[in-house]
Amino acid sequence: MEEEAAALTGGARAPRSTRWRQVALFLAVVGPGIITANVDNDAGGITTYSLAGAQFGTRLLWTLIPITVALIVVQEMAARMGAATGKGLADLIRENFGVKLTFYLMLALLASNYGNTVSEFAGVAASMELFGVPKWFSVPIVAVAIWLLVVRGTYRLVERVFLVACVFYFVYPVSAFLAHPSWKDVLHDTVVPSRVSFDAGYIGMLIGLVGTTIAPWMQFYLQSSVVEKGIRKDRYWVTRWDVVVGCVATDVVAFFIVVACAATLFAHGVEIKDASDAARSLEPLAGRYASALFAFGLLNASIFSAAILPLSTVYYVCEAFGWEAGVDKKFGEARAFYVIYTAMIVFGAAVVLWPRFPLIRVMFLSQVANGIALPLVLVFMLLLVNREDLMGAQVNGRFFNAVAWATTVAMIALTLLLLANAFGMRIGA
Amino acid sequence: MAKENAGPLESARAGTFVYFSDLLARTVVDAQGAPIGHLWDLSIGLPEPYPVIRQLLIRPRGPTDLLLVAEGAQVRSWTADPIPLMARVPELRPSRRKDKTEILLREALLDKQVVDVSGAKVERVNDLHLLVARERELILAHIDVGLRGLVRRLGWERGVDAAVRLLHPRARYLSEQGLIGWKYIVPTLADPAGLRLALSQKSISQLHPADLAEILEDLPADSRRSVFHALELSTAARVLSELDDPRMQEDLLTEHADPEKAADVLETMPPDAAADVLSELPEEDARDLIHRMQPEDARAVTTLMRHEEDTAGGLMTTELVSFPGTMTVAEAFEHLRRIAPHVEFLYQFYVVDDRHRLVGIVNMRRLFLGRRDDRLQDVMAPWTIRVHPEDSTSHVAEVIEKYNQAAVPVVDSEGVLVGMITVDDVLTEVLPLAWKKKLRL
Repeated sequence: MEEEAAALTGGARAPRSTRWRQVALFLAVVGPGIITANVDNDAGGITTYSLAGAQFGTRLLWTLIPITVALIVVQEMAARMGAATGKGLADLIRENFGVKLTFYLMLALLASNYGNTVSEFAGVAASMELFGVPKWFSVPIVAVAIWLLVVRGTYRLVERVFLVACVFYFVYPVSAFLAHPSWKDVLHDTVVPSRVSFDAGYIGMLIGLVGTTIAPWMQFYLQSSVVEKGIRKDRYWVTRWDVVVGCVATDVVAFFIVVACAATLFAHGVEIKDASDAARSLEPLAGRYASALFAFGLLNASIFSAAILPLSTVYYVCEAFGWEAGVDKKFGEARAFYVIYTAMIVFGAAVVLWPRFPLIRVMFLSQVANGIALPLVLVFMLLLVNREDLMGAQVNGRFFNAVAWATTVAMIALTLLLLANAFGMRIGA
Repeated sequence: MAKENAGPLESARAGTFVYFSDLLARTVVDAQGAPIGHLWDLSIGLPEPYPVIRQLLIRPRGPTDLLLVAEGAQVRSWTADPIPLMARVPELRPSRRKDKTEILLREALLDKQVVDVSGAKVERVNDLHLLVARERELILAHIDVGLRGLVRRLGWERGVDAAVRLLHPRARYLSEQGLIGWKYIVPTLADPAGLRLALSQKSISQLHPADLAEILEDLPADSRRSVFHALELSTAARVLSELDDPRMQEDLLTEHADPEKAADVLETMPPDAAADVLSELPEEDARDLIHRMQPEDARAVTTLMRHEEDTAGGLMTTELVSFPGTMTVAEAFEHLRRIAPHVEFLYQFYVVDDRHRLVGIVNMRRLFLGRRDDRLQDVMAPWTIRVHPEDSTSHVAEVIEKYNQAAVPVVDSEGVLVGMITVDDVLTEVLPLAWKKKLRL
């Protein structure tokens, strides 16, 4: 018996498939963090980082280090809650804060995620226009394709393709190096906050940067993926690394997008009015192919996120209200699921078709809205992650609480500052 | 079963229904009519099919975490608002850790997920529907999972009802109650002892294991574990093999509070199913579980696990029935009657020689047609149909399909009978249906 078990589970006589199974197991645990990180650099993300570099040069680079710390803390909290409780964030909020709070929070998130969906379709429109395809043609086709991919259940197969296409982000570091920025200034501005300003443009951009990086909906998505993967407590450390690596990767990409845009667009005083302007940041690398390369990356990011965002939104809304959800359910069984999902996609795509719809502006503003909504979600997360009856020994440590509360307070303060600024400006004018 | 909403509570008489959310909005007053505090929670005894409210938890006014406990019997009327007690404040005691056999409605049920046995579904509780019997007795009758319960909790019932009545008087929203009888509900408690009590009362074990597996898949991980761990051994074994997701199987086995129990579940499963599950586990966990199994079962499982997954050897079970050729039909029947409770597949049996080499096949029909004193070697069919352990799954499927067999014996190069593959094991391999589920987000 003893030797049988030994022969079975180790040593040369083990079937060949065991080793692959171990690799598969590792890949099964790794993933939520990396995928979340890549979805994080969506149409709104690329646009916001590009705008930050084009409008402010390297002035905002210093924010990326604190943002990365906050991002790691927040995402790790979400992942840990998923692993410790086995429940999604919406689930936990409903069970612990009751119907009323849940309802209004879901309403707010539905609105902000609708904005994000619009921005993904705006990304599709903008990138396809760079290929010379008009948006009234591209957007409906992509919308229908996404709807079918997800509802027919084939999305998971295609997900890997999108994920691989995310290597596109490596073009930004290359382009940044080829543009020969002053690395001394870049480093200085990354570490030392300089030329900090309090005008509405600067504050708005700051909120947008935080909002696009630490998007509220990502926390729901990440926690649900951790639950879905059934990650066990003793293997949680893998997930923790997965999250940290994902977060750092996200912000390294963000860093180089800002640097590339600062070195090309800002240096030549180019204002980003549409996607073709943003594409010029890739000229040092790709020359006249810059626009095609940028279009490809933006299109991939937009479709990737447009497939995940509405789906994860409708999943957690249904989760909170106890409605049947899932693409393996029939329409009659999961009416609310299909109606909300379809509405998100149809209305998200339809708005973009409006003539002279300000694509870039909407992609940016949806991220500012994310930043404004973030503290709302953070407060709920903090209250939950500190409850011993839910988390056991895995409640937040002091450092995590400090960082997360600081982020919450900072985002509220920035929002108030932005409001005061906008109000003041109106009175001035 | 479900009556119309009780209407204005002041006018409600004995025998009417009241919603938990309405009760929670009320204050509780003492025998003199002086307010004590808000009704905070109610408790019921778990194993009762029609549970009477046993205790009230009252939250006094002011900034305090203290809750006061009143007995259900101390309530003068459940229909009055505020709720009058027959006791005075000093007679109430502060709440302590509750009794294991009691559950608190708000804490354990409201907004939580429960299993609806009648519909084989997981539902979220929007409200509770309680029956006021004889004015002073309150009984938990239904749970409310409907949209209207949600609207009521939001405090919009009147407005939304009026609006719907105006726009679409025959809307299903107005006629459908969304109530499910408490006797069909299994709560998903974190506490396994309480859950076992609840399960013993309900008809959850009468659900088909496939339905039960689907319910488990819909539950959050901790509830899934506690429900699974509270199941009877034989039910748990069948549910485990019905689960589609290997990660879920792994989680349920390795996170088992008692590893010996997990090993018992594996012993109860047919060896091929147990081998399938074990081969998906990480090495260490699998080894640990195998060591805890009975030596005999462990040997069967490890033999099966040596084979590649997509071959006849990986598919087969070693749990089969074989007889010596000299046995009579009557003796065979006698033997079958004895082992029938423990064997999964009882339609095809094998005749082997003293070195366990396959010499023939006997199925039920041949046994029935044979005379009592016939020897098996005279009624058996010669074994023309068989597969080799190294044969591919698709080859096995072809053989079974071509010869219209319910099972096929697996025979090694020396002619020794090593196992059997039944048609349902092949079906799960061949049908691509299982993976559609795996793709679900």
